[in-house]
This record gives sequence, C-alpha cells and structure tokens, in this order.
Amino acid sequence: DGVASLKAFFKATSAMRAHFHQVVTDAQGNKVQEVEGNMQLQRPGKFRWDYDKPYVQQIVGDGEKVWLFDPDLNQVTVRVMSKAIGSSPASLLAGAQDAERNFTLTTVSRSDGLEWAQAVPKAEESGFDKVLLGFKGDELQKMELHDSFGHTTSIQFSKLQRNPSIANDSFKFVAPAGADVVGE
Amino acid sequence: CASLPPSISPSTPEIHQEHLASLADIDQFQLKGRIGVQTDTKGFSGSTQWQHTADQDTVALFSPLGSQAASITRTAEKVSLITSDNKHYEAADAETLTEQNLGWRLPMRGLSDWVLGRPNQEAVEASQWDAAGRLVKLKQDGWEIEYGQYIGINQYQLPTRITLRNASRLTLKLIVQQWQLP
Repeated sequence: DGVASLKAFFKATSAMRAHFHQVVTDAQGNKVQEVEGNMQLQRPGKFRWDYDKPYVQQIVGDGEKVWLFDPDLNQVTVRVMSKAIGSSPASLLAGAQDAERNFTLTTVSRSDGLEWAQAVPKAEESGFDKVLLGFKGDELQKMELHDSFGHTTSIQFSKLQRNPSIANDSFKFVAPAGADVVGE
Repeated sequence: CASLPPSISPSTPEIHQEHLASLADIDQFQLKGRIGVQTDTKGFSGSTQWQHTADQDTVALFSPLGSQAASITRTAEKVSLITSDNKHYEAADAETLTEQNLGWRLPMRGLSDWVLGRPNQEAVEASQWDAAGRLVKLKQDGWEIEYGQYIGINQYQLPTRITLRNASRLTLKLIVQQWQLP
C-alpha cells in the first residue's frame, strides 16, 4: 500500500536526483503555472530544486537554512530550516526525523497503477492541506501538493537516479554578487 | 533627488501630460507577474495575479512551489485577507491589513495608479519623466517609486519593472509579465 511504499522509499533512498515537470491548477482546474527543472536531495535535510523553464529559480536547503533565489527580482529569501522545513513538502522527502513526527500518513487508492501515500501536516500553519506521493514499488514517480485555496501542484519526476553520489557543495548556496539577501 | 540617469533626457511637461492623457481612460486591468518583498527582518518572493476595477481589487500571492500564499480582496466597504493557513482578517484599508498580518505594507490604493505609470490623486512630491513622457521616478504618499522598464500594449506604454521603497525600509519589487486591459 502507499504508506508501505513511502516507508520503503525512505529506507532505500538516502539521496536522489531527478528531472521534474510541475503543473499548478486552481480550484476550477485551470492551469495556473507550468515549470520544469531538476532536483536533488540528500537525507537528512538537504535538497535543491532548480527551476529552469519558463523562469529560473533556485530553492536550496543546506541542512540549516532554506535559500530561495529569484534572478528576475535579484532577491535571495532566507528562512531558518526548522521553521521552513517542519512541514513543507521538501521536508517530507528530505526530512531528518521520520515523517510520522510531522505528518499523519495514510494510504490512498487511485486507479493510475501507482501506490499513493497521503501526508497531512500536523503543524497548523504549514501553508498547505496535504501532500500525496505516488510510487511504483518504492520508487517515487509523482508528488501532489494541495493548498488551502484549492490549488493543486502536481510534480512528475523522470530520469530518477536513486542514491547517486552527490558532491557535498551542491547543497551549499552562494548568493550571487549584488543580489539582495533578505530574511532570517 | 538623484541625478538623471545619463541616457534619459528630461521630458517637457507637455510630453508627459500627453502620456498621462493616453492612460487616462484605463480604469480596470489584470496583471500577472513576480513580486519581491524586502524588509529588515523578512522577505518574500513569488508570483502574483491582480484584478483591478474601480470598485473591487483581488490580489493573489503565490509561493515559488505554486501554492497560494495569500489572497487580498478590496471592496467599497472593506479589505479582507485570507492566508495559506486559512486565517481570515479584515481592515478598513489594505495598508494596515497587510502591515498587521503579513508584516509588510501593500499600498494597494496608490499602487492601482502607480502600476500603470501614473501618479494617484495625492500631492506629487517629486517626479522625473523620460523623453517619451513616461514616469522614471515618482515620490508620492510616502513612497519612492522607480520605473525600470516599459512595454507597448495596444496604444498604451505600461511599466513592466517597478520598485517601491518607503521610509520604514520596506522595498517592493514588481515585475509585470502579462498585462490584460479591456
């Protein structure tokens, strides 16, 4: 079932690299945003989402802080990992503690041939209602974020590499010269 | 105020009045873009969608992951805010509402003119215009506004890069990626 696949994924995956394709739809099902990029993570606590198209954006978790760089705005927004990661989707995948501390996990059945697990954040103000993770066996295929405004962010992973060797500094964020660094 | 950027020769009042006249009939718009908020202690960056009419404003703020961070709605009577953790707030104006509940001040009233590249009806403390009569800098209502880029949409010249700063060290950066006019 879904939760068993999620646990098997955690057990078997200490690091991961993949291409992702993200589509956001609003409550009426209209497409609001479509973005592509590459992600990698190293448990515990380190992750990196590099959005390439249609606009560039980087979200880097270095284990202590989460750095968000928007080149168009030339702004780096920094948040302390504990607050940001407590119940964010990135924390579910790269989480240090086991997921059950921050999320209520249940199995969800769907007819798309994937094993789905649903994670509802225990923290009240996590900023979204639930995350769903779709597996083929113990390999992550899809992730869905449902926010409290009825938006759904669906992320499809492809070219997934499990436990690749990842250079340690790939989770080290260096603010580009001249960028405004804001936040904690 | 700051010296003129070398490439922009000053405009004459007639030219910038002509430009303002060309914008005068715009009383509603929709825009999609990116917004950056910077204060001493906190920051936000993400995308935004804004529907403006004379009697209603709806502003949506989205986090980079695409999930909605906040929704602000202004009607004649009040302004209401819904945040991503489903909390509802209300106030008489957007400025106090966002200051109290988001920790930064969204000058929605003035912005509905400033975003079009025109002063609002308050007194103008200072202004600078380019050779085409478009606003380059504006000081009004306690805000210093800079226009970095314009685009031609139908017969209008509209800003696509706007930076606003106020005395309490708040900076708002707005990049308009899509203008929609009736």
